[in-house]
Amino acid sequence: MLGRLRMSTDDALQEYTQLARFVFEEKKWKFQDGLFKATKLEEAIKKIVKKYGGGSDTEDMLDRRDDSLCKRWAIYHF
Amino acid sequence: MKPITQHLPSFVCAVAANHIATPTLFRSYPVPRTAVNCQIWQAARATTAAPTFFKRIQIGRENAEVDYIDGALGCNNPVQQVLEEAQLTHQSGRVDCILSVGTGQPQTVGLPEPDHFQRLLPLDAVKMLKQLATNSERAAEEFEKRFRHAPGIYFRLNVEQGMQGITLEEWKKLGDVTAHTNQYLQKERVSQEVDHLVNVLAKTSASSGVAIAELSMQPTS
Repeated sequence: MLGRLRMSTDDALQEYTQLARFVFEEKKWKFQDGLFKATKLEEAIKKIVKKYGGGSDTEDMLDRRDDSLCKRWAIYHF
Repeated sequence: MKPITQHLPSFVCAVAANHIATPTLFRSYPVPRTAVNCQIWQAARATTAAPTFFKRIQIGRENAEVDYIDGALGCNNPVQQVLEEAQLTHQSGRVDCILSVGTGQPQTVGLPEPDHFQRLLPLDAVKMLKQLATNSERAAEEFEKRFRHAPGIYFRLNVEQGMQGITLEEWKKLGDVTAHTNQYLQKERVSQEVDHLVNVLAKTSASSGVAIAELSMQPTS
């Protein structure tokens, strides 16, 4: 969120808390490939990408904007 | 707080399910080698596909997709990957600062508790995952040792108390996470480290730093 989508920390925190509730509120009835629905997670992520990433939820991970500084790295982990 | 206005080169880690010893990096910047490109949401899904939480995700060309799962299994602390990336794109550069922020979790997210999940995963898979997590923790420790000789370069922030009992899905406990984090930041030692870090990051003058090549050597035992 902070790196590729260039979000502020306030926005990232707000979006994460909403996402966590949306995704983890409901457990799957049957344990099959995980306890939570990947489709809900995908929906929540796409919503954030669309809101902060230039209007489309299909933006590439590779950032093609030409203001790349390439001096600092950031890696994130959920 | 303002949004970031410049491109901050970023990557997230996942591992190919049939090749979990080496992490795959999903980057926001180009590198001079073959790299996976995909959409942002796919990278986010891959890096969060912790076994027992979410199903894996297939990424790649049609009929030649690769299954990815959460990278925490292969690189719990990806500081080594950060240095490799720095070397890949800035061979002769210098490093002023490395900040590692932990999740407060001593264990790998998604690593099943044996009693709970053993019946749901093959036993050898559980063993292999545990082995990997242990190895990656040890590698990170070895790595951190090297920075003792370069004070003011490597910073590690990790809420040490209180987070152990809070698992990834417990969204109702985010208030507790905030409280534990605030308490951690108020500690004298941590507060001083944060001040030091802010000075390093805000510094505008060129610093001598440490050569990337010097830091990128394989960990010594």
